[in-house]
Amino acid sequence: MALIFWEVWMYAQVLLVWWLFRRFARRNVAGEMIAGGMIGLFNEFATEPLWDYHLRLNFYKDTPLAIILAWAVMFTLVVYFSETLYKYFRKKQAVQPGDKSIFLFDLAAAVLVSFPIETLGVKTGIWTYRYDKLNWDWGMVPVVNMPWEALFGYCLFMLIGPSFVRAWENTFDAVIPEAGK
Amino acid sequence: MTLKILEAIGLLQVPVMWWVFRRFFKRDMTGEMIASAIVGVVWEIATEPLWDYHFTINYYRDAPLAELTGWMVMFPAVILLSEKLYRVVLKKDQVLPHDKRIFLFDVVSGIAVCLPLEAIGARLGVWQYRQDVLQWDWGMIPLFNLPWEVPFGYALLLLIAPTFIRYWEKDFEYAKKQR
Repeated sequence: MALIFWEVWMYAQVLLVWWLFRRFARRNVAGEMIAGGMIGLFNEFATEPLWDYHLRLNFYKDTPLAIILAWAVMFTLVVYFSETLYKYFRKKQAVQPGDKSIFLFDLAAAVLVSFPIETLGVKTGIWTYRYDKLNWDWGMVPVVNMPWEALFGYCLFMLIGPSFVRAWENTFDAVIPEAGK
Repeated sequence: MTLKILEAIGLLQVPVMWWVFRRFFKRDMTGEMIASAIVGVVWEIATEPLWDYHFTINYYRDAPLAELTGWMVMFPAVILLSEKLYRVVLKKDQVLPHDKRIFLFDVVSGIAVCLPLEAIGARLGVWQYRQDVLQWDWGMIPLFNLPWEVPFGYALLLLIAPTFIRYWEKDFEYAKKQR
């Protein structure tokens, strides 16, 4: 029953997050979500054997459609969080093109946004790690009891993903025109 | 012995190809190669349990350095071909900013460049697919004798990777020039 609730939530959160950004941040995040979904699709296909999902509507083996939407929301949050930190600490109005310090803020977002979402997904049983295939052996992060490799993996992944989102977000925003930004 | 030669070629190909691009295409590949290496590291660490490599110099479990240098050459080659095809087919002088059609050229070029190299690498025993883990079941591509999942995976990877490389290549080169 709890998993059905989470699956419904994972669909609903896309509309909710899009609306919240439009309402309170005056930002159309349709482009971020489409770009984030593309990265999620790639990642899920590439690593499908390494996790077991426990939701119902799947698009490839046991990979659920809802997880692509979760990537869409996660990348939207990561980019927003990272850029907010960047603007605050660098005292800039916007991310400066070519400023490599954004990598640092993307890493911070990986730790502070992605990893808690990953932890939530594991603890609620939406997915389980295939430890028999992963052979992870770095131990567990204290308090949250999650593998260090999961945290490290997010740090690596967020070196690449947010740049893709930033490169295409404005172009993809045209899907929902006149929605802010 | 074959694997030792291939590993040596794999390691040497970065300086050689950097020089070839500079000499014959008048193109500084430093930025592309650095960005490609970042994508390569992310990819190889994320998918490490899915293949077995058989080289000797490794940077993470059995993921070899020579494989990383392979990505550093392969991605720039894909981008070069993709942008060439784009300009020829669409009759443009350069890739237009925000033109989504570049995705199509990246995927086509990616498969054209990567699939033969993938077939050679697998055939020569540089790596083996962990079929017991992958459980791929789409069948095999005639002639190449590779699983259909391979080009599909490349197509997805090449939707993402070239954008990252184009996004950062100039800035990574700029850093080098500043030094």
